[in-house]
Amino acid sequence: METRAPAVVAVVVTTGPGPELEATLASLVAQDYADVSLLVLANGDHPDVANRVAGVAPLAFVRTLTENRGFGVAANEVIGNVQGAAFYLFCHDDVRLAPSTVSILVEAAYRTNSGIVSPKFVGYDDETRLVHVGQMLDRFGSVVERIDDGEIDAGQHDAERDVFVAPGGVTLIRSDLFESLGGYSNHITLIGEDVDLCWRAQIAGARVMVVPSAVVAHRQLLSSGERSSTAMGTRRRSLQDLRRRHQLCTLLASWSLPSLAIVIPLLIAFELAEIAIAAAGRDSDRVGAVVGSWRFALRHRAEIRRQRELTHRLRALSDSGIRLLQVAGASRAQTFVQNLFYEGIDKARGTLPPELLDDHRVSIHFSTSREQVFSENQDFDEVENLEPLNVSVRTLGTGFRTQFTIVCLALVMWILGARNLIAAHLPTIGRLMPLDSWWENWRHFFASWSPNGVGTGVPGMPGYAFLAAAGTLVGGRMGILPRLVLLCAVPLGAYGVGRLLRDVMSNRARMMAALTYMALPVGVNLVQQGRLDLLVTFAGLPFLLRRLFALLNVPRFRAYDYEMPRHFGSRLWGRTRAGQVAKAVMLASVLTAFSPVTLVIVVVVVMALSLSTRVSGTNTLEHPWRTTGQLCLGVATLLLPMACDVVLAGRRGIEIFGLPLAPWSGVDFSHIIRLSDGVFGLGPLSWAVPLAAVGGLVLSRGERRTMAGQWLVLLGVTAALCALVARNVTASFAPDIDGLMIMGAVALSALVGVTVASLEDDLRDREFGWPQIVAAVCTVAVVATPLQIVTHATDGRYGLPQTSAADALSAYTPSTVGGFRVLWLGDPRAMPLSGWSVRPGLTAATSTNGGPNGSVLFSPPASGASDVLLDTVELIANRGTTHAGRLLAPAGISDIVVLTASVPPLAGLQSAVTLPPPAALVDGLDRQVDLALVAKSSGLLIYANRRFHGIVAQRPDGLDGTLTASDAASATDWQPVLDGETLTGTVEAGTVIAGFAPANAFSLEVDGRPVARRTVLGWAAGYDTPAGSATLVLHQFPLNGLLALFTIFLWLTYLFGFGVTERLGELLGRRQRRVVIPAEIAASIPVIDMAHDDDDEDE
Amino acid sequence: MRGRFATAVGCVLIVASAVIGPVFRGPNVVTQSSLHGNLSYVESNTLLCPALDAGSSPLNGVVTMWNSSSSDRHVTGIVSNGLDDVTAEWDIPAGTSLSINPATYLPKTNLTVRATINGGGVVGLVRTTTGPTSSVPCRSVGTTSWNVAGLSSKDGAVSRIVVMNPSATPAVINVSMWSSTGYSLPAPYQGLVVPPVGQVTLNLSNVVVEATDISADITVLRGRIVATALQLEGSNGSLVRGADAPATTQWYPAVPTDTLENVSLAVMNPSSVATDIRVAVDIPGFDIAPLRFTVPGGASRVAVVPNSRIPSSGLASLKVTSRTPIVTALAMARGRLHRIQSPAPLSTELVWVGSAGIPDAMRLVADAAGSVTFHSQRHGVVRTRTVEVTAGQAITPPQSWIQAGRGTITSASNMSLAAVFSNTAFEVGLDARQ
Repeated sequence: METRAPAVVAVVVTTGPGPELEATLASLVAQDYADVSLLVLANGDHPDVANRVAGVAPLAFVRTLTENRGFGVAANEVIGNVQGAAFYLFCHDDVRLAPSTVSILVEAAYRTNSGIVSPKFVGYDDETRLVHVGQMLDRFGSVVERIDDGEIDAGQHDAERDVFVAPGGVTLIRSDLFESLGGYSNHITLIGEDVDLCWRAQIAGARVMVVPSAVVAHRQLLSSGERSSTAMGTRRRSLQDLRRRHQLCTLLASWSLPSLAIVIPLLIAFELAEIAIAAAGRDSDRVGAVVGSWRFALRHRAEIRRQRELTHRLRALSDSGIRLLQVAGASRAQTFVQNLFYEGIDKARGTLPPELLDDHRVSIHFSTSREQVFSENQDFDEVENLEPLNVSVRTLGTGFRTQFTIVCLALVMWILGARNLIAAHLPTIGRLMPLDSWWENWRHFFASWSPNGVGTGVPGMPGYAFLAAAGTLVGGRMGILPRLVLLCAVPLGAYGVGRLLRDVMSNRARMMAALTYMALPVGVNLVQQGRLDLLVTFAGLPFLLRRLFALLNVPRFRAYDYEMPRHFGSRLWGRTRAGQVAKAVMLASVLTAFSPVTLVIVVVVVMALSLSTRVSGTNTLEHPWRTTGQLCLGVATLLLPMACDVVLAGRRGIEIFGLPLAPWSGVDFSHIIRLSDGVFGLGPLSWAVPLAAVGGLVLSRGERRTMAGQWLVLLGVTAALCALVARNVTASFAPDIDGLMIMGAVALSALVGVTVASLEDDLRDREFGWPQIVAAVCTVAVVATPLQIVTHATDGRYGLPQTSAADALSAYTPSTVGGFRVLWLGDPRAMPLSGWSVRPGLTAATSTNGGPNGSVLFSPPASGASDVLLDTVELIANRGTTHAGRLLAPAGISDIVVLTASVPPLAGLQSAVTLPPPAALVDGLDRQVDLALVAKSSGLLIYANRRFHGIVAQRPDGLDGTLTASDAASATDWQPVLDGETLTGTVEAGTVIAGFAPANAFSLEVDGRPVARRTVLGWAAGYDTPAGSATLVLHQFPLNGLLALFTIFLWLTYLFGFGVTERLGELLGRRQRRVVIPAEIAASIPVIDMAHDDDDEDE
Repeated sequence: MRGRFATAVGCVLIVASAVIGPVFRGPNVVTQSSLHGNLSYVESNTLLCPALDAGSSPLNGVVTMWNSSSSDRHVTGIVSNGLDDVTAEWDIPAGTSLSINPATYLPKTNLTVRATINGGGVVGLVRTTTGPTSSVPCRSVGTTSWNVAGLSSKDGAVSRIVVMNPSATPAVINVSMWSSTGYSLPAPYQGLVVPPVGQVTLNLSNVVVEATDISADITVLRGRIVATALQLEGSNGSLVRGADAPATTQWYPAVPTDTLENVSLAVMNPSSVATDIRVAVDIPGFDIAPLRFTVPGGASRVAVVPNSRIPSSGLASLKVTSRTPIVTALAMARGRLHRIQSPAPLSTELVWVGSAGIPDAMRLVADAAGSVTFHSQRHGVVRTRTVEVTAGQAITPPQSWIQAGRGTITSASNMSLAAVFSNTAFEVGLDARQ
């Protein structure tokens, strides 16, 4: 029968048809529109589709597509196969149309001259709830819903309007437009094909409308997860993956190049931030989705290019016109910030918080009804009459906005306080010295010889390897690393404290603990002193402690039960106890490589926890000493070169944890309890933190009291050890006192957190009296604590000096012929490089050809032949010699720098802590007949050695092997030879002495022929040379290099234990990815179960 | 309840950390060497011995070095007169002493000896050998200040100060002076540089002419110095040790008391305010009231007039104490014989070099009561003897110790030692910890 209604072909694409197919077909059959033809496209080979269709719509055409290549590709079958239709109505197989839907859509299309028309989508089971009423888009391709999730349909969205996207489900499109656009994009199989089509339609000048009077119920089987996708290339992909990749492809294909030049960098910036946040929250799926989207776009660049060309040919609307139709800004970022601000980080990231997984966390409030309030029941007033009401817990509790603001303020204040550190010159103090290049740092790790002291052949310190590895992350720009540490260590440590106390106390208490850690003077003093090694520990220790507490099963610190033992290398091995120990070992190794005192801290923590549990009578620690042993052994294994150095050092090995301080050191109890060993933390405000901690001890009850006791014991053990070390009671075992203070800072911060928790929970039931007074005082102290950040931030560089002793030295350096060494002497805390202890309070170290540099950043504990220097310094201090210059000359010592303060104090510019060396040292130096005082200031003394003759020197006469440096005959007529850097030059006939140890590591070649070597003066190399061109070369079997390689192998072995092989296999496509969810989460969260398939059709 | 035990333990640990600091705090002081200590760690030592004149000058003399160790010592010496240097080498067998006359190496005046010894345990003394002999110790450590009192430039008297620089650091000094003519800052002696391992001579009599009671204060701005004053009055010459710094207590253990002796105390009060001094005179067997004086700021002199009941013979020991630190020298005149003597060194370890032989009399005074041990070695045999002393009371050391000719004395409290030769020459015990 002929009609005047434009022909509409309803195209239903069904994929592994569900039970709604019949309902869909029935609703189409029931349309009141006169000319609707029905075409069913069966995606994939499903034999019963034809029968099922015939049962409901016998006049429908069924076309089976053998391969399921997605909705879009299937829908494109109409091109060329359908003729004469004015409109196509593309439908999913899980929709139910109202009888007049088609009529309304067609009428609206003509009336509004729209190219694409979309109905109002409502819930399949509850049609009072809206699903979609058209969609908008931002410039980055992110869909912006016009309605809220689960919004009730009260007619508020019933006005027809232009939209940017007609969401898939039921879409009416003009057939000519569809064919002009080339249909759906073939590479967009599923999710996002509607966005792509509508965007191209917009570019072509077509109008996209939503007509709410047309109502369609949509079950959304796929997007709700009720049905899994079987389209090619989507089986192993999550909806997030598909959405992200297709969104990116659409964006790349739709914007013109000038617009892309703006959009792409912005998109990259947003996605990098998203990756960072996701990585911090261990949301690997999201990270994979973002990264995978770019890989997908790269693989399908040809299709994208073709799409761009087609779009360009059809372009009727410019990019500026498109932007007017889109939503301004970045909707995803806006949504994230809004959710973060109002709902919390978990909601913002779209993850479920642990509180909702634990039934015990659901708070129960008692409530009643209005009827009962006015009830005449005389027993009503009894509490039992009230009905319990379960109320779900919000993600992070109330006051999150305030907490977020405070944290942001603190971060801003920190950054402001570090504003001058970003580009300023960094002085050579502490461990702040010019780093060697990326390659040089690797070389130091593998080297057979290092220049510490007079040279040593012990294995290279592993810290160089970590430094080089970190340098890889910054593209080899090693100069960035010290600034990164200075800027980021303290905030990162504060974040770590927050993580340490997660699930242990409220977020407010955690926040205050974290801010306390940031505000304590330990951190800023380490920045002021340039102690990069300890700043690494400052940042990483809270994370390590969290792992340690979890291993020891300290109550509330273990977030989940460990998995049953699994084989090494499996994906879940990391969640077993062995895997957790391995993670702790790796983290401890990284920290110990930079500051070995970390290992002492671990042992101290275990001791303190054992003590506190014993006196508490709980004794719940899980294998404390076994765990400690595993950690120590593991660290020793992963830092094998350092372990070898410690063994080779003998009695000096213990000094790797720190060098002994003198009994007169200025660290007394007031410094220890305020954790201040520097210029910061000496004012009255610094007492706020200990005062605030007292509150936790006094006010806490129940488990908070137990917690307070544990942390107090930790603090007490740390303080006692600090006091013993400060007075040299522990002799050679002198862990770095600044490192111990870091542990004290964690404990003190935790106590402040306990105080806040006590203020929240332990005051309610107390009668008015002293507790409230104490609480008031503690509250003031807690509030005052973060203010210290402000006081530290005044000069913009946290007191980091502008000049140093090394800078002052440059005026006194001799010619580089023969090379020279500078002998640095001073209190261990004043030294700009690490060294060896001569006596308590006196450390000696050397630098070669100038001030300290990256080659002496780490000092092995074994002094070896450098004992000649240490013995000479000891002689000087004991008044045992008057010609120290002669004794030091064979080592090429040109100058002796004695540091009497942490930095040279300059009035108004930089302040310093006075750190006097032993008085006997200066007295002894003044007695020397061959040392001349050439510079004297309030921070340092520089003595020039009048007997200096270069590290490599020559004289015409021979040198008897029995002579010592004490003999005057051994010290005459020496002249420096060979260039100090290249160790090449011309020599005359005579004796050459090279002050490099070990003597047998170097050989001298004259005119290409090696010269016989002998040991002279007890340690140096002597050569009887003819005249000629000479080169001093290192000849050493690369045992250290082999050890370094073995160490790297051990690290790789550890890394492979965390399922790396499985992940590599997935990456290479040889293994399917299994989404494995830990047991405690699986019960609560629906798992998207991807169907297994052997075909690898996507890559 | 459980948490309270842990809290208590934590509090105990915190309190313990508060107590540890003050209990175990130690001082940052210079370690004192000792001849009785372990000398094996001493790799080398230097002795600076100023200053003598050559020729027939009353300041002609010898440098005596005693090797108190049990090993032989090799000495490399540089004899200098400020213009020329001569190097010489000597060997001192264990337990023996060696006397050298610098004038045999160089002519002229202000002869100094700079000796480098290949080990420890060697002490030295410079002694004049003409007329009323006097002596000063050789020093191994320089000082950053030095003072002297009692010099004179009147009636042709010549007073000089020889300043040696023990190290390679150029020393810079300022010299201020007091005398009977007043206070002065001689321009040539301000910012004066003493060259590395060199010496300079300050001719005070050229700067302060025809004056008595000349006192000098040397402030070292950089480096360290070793200084000695030389006083020449006719045929009398005195080597004056001076003092590193003004002090409030000074000892003169052996002062002749006969009526032929004219004893006066030269005082340099560096303060501008007058100070009270008290001179306690001790003669065994007598009870003598202390003498009290008030001296103004600057240089002055007071006569030490003993009580008329004191016998006109024998030796007295003088203890000079003052309210504020001062510098003193004892000027003694016997006829035409003039000697100037600095206070004897105070130390818990003294060494007697005995360069002039066995003295006629020797006196030891201890600052506090207690035991004093005398160590000597004769014919290879080491002998010690312990004697109980009373504070401030002079004793004569054991004869056997004196007869040994050399030895050391140790005590828990400070002591000073002086010997007299015919009431004309003096030699003091040296501080073995220098």
